[in-house]
Amino acid sequence: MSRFTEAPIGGAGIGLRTKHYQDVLSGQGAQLQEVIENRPPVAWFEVLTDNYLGTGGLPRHHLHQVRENYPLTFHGVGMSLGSTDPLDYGYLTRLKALIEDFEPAWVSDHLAWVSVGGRYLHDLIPFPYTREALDLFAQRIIEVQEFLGRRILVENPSTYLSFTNCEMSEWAFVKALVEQADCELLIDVNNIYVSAVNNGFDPLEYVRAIPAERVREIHLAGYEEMGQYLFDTHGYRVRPPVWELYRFVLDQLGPTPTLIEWDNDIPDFSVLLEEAAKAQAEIDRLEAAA
Amino acid sequence: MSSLRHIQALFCESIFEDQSGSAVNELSRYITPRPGLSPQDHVKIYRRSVLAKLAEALSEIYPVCLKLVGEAFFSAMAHTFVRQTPSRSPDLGEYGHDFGDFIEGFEPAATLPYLPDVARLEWAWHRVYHAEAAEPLDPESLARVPADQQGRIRFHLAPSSRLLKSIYPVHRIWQVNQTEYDGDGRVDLDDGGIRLLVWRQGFDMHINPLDEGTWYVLKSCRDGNDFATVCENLEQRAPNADISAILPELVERGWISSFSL
Repeated sequence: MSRFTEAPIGGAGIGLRTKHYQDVLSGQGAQLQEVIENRPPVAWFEVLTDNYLGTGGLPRHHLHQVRENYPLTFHGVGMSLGSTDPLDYGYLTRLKALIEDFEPAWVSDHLAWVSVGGRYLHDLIPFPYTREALDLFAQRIIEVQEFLGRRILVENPSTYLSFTNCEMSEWAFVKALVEQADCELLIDVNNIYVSAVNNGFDPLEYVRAIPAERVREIHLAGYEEMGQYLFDTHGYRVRPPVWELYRFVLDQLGPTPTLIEWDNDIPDFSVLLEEAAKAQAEIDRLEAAA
Repeated sequence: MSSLRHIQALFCESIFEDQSGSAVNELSRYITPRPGLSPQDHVKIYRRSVLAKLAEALSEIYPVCLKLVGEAFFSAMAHTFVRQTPSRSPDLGEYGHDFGDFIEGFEPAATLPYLPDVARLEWAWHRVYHAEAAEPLDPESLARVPADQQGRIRFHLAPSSRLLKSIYPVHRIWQVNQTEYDGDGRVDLDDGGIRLLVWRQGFDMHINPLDEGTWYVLKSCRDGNDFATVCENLEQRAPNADISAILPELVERGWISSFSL
């Protein structure tokens, strides 16, 4: 029996950002204060687990206050699932304790690696989609799932390069991976679009190949035009072509919980609510048609 | 070495290497060029992103240093630091602990001799902010220690506390550079040195200047000395201080939060 609200995850959620926790002390943490005091109508919040690895302190205290009123999902980058280093059980142990503490509906990480040789890049680095990588990646997910005692979701990242020695497409890799590792998926529609433009593939071909029954969640965010490429800034409203692709994805997958992410130049909370309402409207449209 | 491990090692080197670019040149043969973007350009996107993320983490931990030197200088200083200091933990909150030591050896910052200690104060603040809260020490359990055992007691500082000493008035520098501060912004560097405890009471952050006696008691306890040695140290360093007045106050404030025998 959960100590918290047992409301299931559904509809449009918002990515909760902790960078303003400290500001709350001086009355400037607008977003957090908004969430804790005014309890805005948000279906659920997703938190960046890697910001709560500390043993205690204010971030966890604030997160407890949020958890009292909202369902949560966990999202991180620290598993480094594509790395050729050994799994970091120190990290996984801290993550497991955090899961026990906050009871998230699910836990996700990325189709990427962030560390090698004990050095952490804290950024999602792609790898060549080969059989070797597939076996390694699947094996690591199996070990993580065993350790955590639950399935995890894996998210497709934005990529800014592709490797010459790939043996398959990203979507073929993803399809094979979920079978081999028995994991679930978090589909980032913005990332599919950004990667497609940057690496010259057809985003619709990717979407058509997604194993719908494995998808638990969708991410949306705003990219930035850099001239020669698109960058996954998470600092803008969701762009029109991504909304368009999102509608296509929903038609493929059916109504799916969708999260708005915003990490840079975080706007007034009302802007996040507007973006979430737009996603909710698309989900509602689909449900009404069903 | 597997080809995947080889590519990852090259990638990591490419992020941190100097202008020579030997790693990125070798990595390039694994990367598909695109119109307008060479393989090196592709890697540069990641290089910029990784280094910016680490530098951004420093600017969040060290806002007063940033304010003191300005954004352009801070960014250059932070980038020099991150290129030579890889992160060793998945927790970005543990990154940058030795930034103060780095600044001390960073030639362009030599005109601001107090800057390394301001950085150390900000690091202390950052760690205390994230530290575990401690239960207060139960005075009765202390009273139950037999008199002949008291000299062997080791007192432990609260995990949410840090001691810091500087020959510069860093506390005052820190205060006048807080966003909400609107008083007289002048600091006289000749105000002299200061001994500080950064600590948290529940969820309130504090920085307290310490008198000499309190400082030596806390420092001696932190260094793992037993109570008899703490008293000896105090006698030598601050002969006028009174341990029988200091100790109860440290317990009451929660600065000392446990003891062991």
